[in-house]
Amino acid sequence: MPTDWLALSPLLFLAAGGSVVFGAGAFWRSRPREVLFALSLVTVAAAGAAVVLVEPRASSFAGVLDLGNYVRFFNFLFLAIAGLTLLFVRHYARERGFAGDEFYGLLLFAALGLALLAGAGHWLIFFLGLELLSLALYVLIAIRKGEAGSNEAGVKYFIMGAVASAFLTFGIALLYAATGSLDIGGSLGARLQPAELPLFLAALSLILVGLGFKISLVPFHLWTPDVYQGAPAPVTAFLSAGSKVALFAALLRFSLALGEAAWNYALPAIWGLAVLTMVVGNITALRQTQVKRLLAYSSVAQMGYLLMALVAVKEGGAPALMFYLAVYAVMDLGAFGILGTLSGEAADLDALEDYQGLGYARPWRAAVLGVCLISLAGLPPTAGFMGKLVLFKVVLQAHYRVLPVIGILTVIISMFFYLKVVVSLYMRPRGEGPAVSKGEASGALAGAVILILLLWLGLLPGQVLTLVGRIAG
Amino acid sequence: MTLYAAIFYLLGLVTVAATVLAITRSNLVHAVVYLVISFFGTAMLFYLLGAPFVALLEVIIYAGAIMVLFLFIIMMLRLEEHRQNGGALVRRWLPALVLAGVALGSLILLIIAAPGSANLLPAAAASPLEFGRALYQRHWFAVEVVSFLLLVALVGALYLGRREAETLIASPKEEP
Repeated sequence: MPTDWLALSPLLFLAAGGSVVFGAGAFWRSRPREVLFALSLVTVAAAGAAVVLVEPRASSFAGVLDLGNYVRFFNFLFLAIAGLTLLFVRHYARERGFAGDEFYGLLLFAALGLALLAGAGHWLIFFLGLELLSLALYVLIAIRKGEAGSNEAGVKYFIMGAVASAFLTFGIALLYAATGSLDIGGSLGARLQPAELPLFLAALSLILVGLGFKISLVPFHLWTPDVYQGAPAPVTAFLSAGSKVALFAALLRFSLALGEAAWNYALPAIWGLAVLTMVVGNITALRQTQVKRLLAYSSVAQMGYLLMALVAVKEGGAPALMFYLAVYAVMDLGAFGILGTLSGEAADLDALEDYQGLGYARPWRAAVLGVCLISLAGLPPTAGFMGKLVLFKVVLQAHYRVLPVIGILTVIISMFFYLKVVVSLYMRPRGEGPAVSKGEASGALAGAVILILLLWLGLLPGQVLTLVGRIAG
Repeated sequence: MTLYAAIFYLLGLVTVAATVLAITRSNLVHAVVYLVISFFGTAMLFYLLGAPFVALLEVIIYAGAIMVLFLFIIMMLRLEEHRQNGGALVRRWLPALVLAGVALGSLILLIIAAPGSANLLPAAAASPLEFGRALYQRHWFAVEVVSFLLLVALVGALYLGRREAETLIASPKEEP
């Protein structure tokens, strides 16, 4: 069978674009920022067009990469995340002097890692995709070499990432020992003898711990606030939206592939982790006075809601999860991205007092930030409300009672700290805060796109819901 | 338990013990010595499992080249001035000697016992040719991904390691 290169074109575009950006930076002495930025944006747009236009002929590529509509949906989402991050970061990076070929190239390769993660059909490719993403992110987080905070965050993420990789590799090795297969679907869905079950479950729990570190589920979330606070805000946006959505997409696929017996063992673990993540994430966020840390804990809590709906994935919960993942990506990207465009050159705008009165001083960006926060809190008419509605609906339909009640209670708690920021934006007079950055075109474009997406998904979610329903069903 | 199984478990024990010692030593040079023993043990495990080519690569690349590079960096940076507390010579050397001795002893035993013979998982013995075929025919996609992974690692290391003064010259302040 001839190789279906066309089906791989999104990945090829990203790899080629990243290499060209690196090459341009290496051979072009003046290192033209605008050309590099345009090149990266064109790459992302071309890859996105390829995802939409190319209908793959086979359902998988040589058995190592899935090409189905599920993967196309997530690839499109990742490219949208990468594109919006590029728009948010353009001015931010130029102002702070890191807008070179390294930054743009690494961002493109990180996007390639995301696509490999969500599409992997073979554990080897999954692991390599994760390492590609992580290595790019370590450097992106520490991209401001002169800043102690940025370097500290990079080292912290590096160490946690190494620990997570070690757990994951050990888990994959045990899974191979138990089933004799490195194929993701084949190894997870294998029919097991009772004697093999302990080894299989040990493998699963190690893989879950490894993923738990990366998507910061509660006992493994301690790195999250420090890294999110130290990293430059647009990088935090990409880290929080991109890497978590990709790993959760992988987790979703693993859950669907898991056999009946093993799934029954995995359910209580997921149940417990979901409760812990929702409760601890939201309650810790209550006491935060720095907006980046607050948003970091909020992203932990959001993962808890997703994990809650994962228990219903075998009863048709997949479309709701896919919808909420898309919504989460947009609102989290928006919150951190706008935070980046508001920040002055010296440091990211972080203390809650510095946001006072911004609703009048910077009305447009404050409005987008406000809508993102309201959406994260899950209030209508935003996408977050619709997303939480479908999430809780599938959990209730799967006959869980305690779990959604705990979830709804934590949602109510979470409204307090989200609205605390909104109140600070609109109902307090402007104090003597640090200088707030002026607006610029690309950030404004990204903010407008996010605002439109959040309202569109909140008011008219029908089309997207039908789409994800068709893809998952 | 056959001779091979005994050697396998012995080597596994040596590898784990050496790795534990490697991550608990405060003296970097000692840690590297234990890491070399650990890599050596892993290499022989590969050999026992019928992958002599991988074993060879492990010794040449990891135990050889990379560890020499580690030692080179440690010596060059001169991170710490270690006072040798005298009298403990035997105590400092004994674990490394024992572990290395056991690993070396089992290697000699393996060579004497002719690993190519029928006792050693003959179905699993992979020649370099078969290894190369499996790598570049079945796993070529992964090899390509690894090449990009290494490129990213290289660029990242270069960026983070480059001196600050050079970057200041390379990226002058943008005029508004």
